[in-house]
Amino acid sequence: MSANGNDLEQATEGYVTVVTGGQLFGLRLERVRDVFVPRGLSQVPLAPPEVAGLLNLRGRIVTAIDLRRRLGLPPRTDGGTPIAVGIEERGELYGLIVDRVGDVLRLKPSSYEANPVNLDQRWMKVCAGVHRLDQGLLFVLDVDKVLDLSQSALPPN
Amino acid sequence: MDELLSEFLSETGEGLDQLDVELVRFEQEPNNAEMLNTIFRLVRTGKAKGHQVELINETAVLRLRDKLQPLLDLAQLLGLEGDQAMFERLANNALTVVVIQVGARLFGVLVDSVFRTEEIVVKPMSNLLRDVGVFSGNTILGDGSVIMIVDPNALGSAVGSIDGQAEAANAVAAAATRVEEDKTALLLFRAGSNTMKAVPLSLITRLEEIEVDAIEHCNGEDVVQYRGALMPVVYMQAERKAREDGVPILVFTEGGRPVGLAIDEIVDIVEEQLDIELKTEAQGVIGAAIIKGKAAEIVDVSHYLGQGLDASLSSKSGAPDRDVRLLLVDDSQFFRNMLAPLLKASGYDVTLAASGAEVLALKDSGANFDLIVSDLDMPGMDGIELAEHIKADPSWQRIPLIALSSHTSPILIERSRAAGFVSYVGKFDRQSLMSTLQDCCRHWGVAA
Repeated sequence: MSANGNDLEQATEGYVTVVTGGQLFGLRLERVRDVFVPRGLSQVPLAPPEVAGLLNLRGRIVTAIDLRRRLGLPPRTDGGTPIAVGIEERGELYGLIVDRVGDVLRLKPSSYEANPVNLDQRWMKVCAGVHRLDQGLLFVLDVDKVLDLSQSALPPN
Repeated sequence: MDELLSEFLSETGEGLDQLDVELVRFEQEPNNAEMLNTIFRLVRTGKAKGHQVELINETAVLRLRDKLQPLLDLAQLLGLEGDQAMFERLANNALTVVVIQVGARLFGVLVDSVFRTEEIVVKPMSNLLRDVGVFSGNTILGDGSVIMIVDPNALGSAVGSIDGQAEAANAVAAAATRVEEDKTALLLFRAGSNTMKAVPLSLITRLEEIEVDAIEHCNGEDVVQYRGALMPVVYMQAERKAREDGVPILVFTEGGRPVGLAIDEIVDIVEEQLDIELKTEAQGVIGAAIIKGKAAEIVDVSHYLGQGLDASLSSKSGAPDRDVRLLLVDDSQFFRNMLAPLLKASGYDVTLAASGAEVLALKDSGANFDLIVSDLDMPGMDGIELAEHIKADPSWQRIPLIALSSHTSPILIERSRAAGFVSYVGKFDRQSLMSTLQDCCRHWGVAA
């Protein structure tokens, strides 16, 4: 994605917005398959800590990834219902567990910037860039990098 | 999607390939938090009831009959608890040990409880979880939950790390097994009396445990609903023990139909050279042999299966129209005793011979047969040489020959074909033998 912010005529990009740990994130619309409530999560012993478990979504096995743990955020304490964004990658289904799913936003490239250089290393690895919005910043999650746990800098918990 | 499954079966399934995936589901509660579901795949199991766990220098071993087997704590292996927790749990609770055989090694795995067996389709683990290593796949159960399937080979290597010496001993034993070809895998069990009973494992299709309530009485026999059909259940002893827990059932497949043999307890699975020491006239027993240093009755399965099959309708459908005269040649008394009743039950007129010389004597005396089934590996004149003699005699050269062998080497199969055998069947593969015989009857017009 280019950061050519001056060209106002450029097409807009669709994002599914999610909130985790109070921060707004965007996932590119075409990468999101569906949104579902993760139920019946089976924990996987010895799995990387980011993997929340496996669940059955309409007969297919989904690997659920906890975005909070992926970003090194503390566990959620408000007791809200978790929700998952479904992603299909090389024939496998993944569910990215977030606090809340928001609207689909169409954003112009003009509001887009590269990651701030002083961003947390863990965030740097999974965020492609940032959109400046009126209500705050929206970090664009790079789905491929979120799913690549070898990029994780998390200590095992 | 079930590639892992077939892969698994080919790795550990020697002689067990009819044994569908047997799963035992068990649950553990780490810190009383969420339930963790894990499925266990059992290849050869005996449930150890009241077997003693002993500690040797902080290493747990299971006393299984007269041998000590390494014991793994699954909860510890899966990182659910520390290494001392097993001893506490052992002290406070009655736990279940799932006995697993991987290759030549036997070991116990400590679990909290065993739920049931279930058939599943194994799906591969997600790419993110391939590195975990302990699991070979996962699946969705009937209730919709997702569970992990523990890889017995991974557990086997975990055992390796705790008993290096035993491994070396096992390697020697394994080498010895290869040299000593005549060993037979036997399932030891008890039924009725305290006498140990044994049956070749290869004859068994599956091991099941069925709830007492699930056994229904219908049309004068006991049946259970099994895989969508009714399976007759026969008992080894006249009186049935009143029991509250499940009944262990050995499932045999006869003419494509399952028959369950209810027993009291599965004791062990051993590999032993089988020499019948004492013959007997008792029905249902082939004889007695020394197994693991103790006398055991070798059970004539066909005697009991006959009971179950007399009542089942389709069992005789494959029988020949008239008695086909069949000559069975095998130097092993065990196999003659094992196969003859079966062949007779299937409607063949069976003559037995213990050596090639006996066969040639029969030939010279003017006897005639419709089919000859011969062992290939016999002392003195082997099956190949015997076939050459038979093919050289104009009066016998048209008799179809079927080779029996406990080895399945391509070279041997090739040699047997060259010598004139029309078919080659594994010694323990009863079903193949029966279907091959039927094919022969049709194809060679034997029964016509």
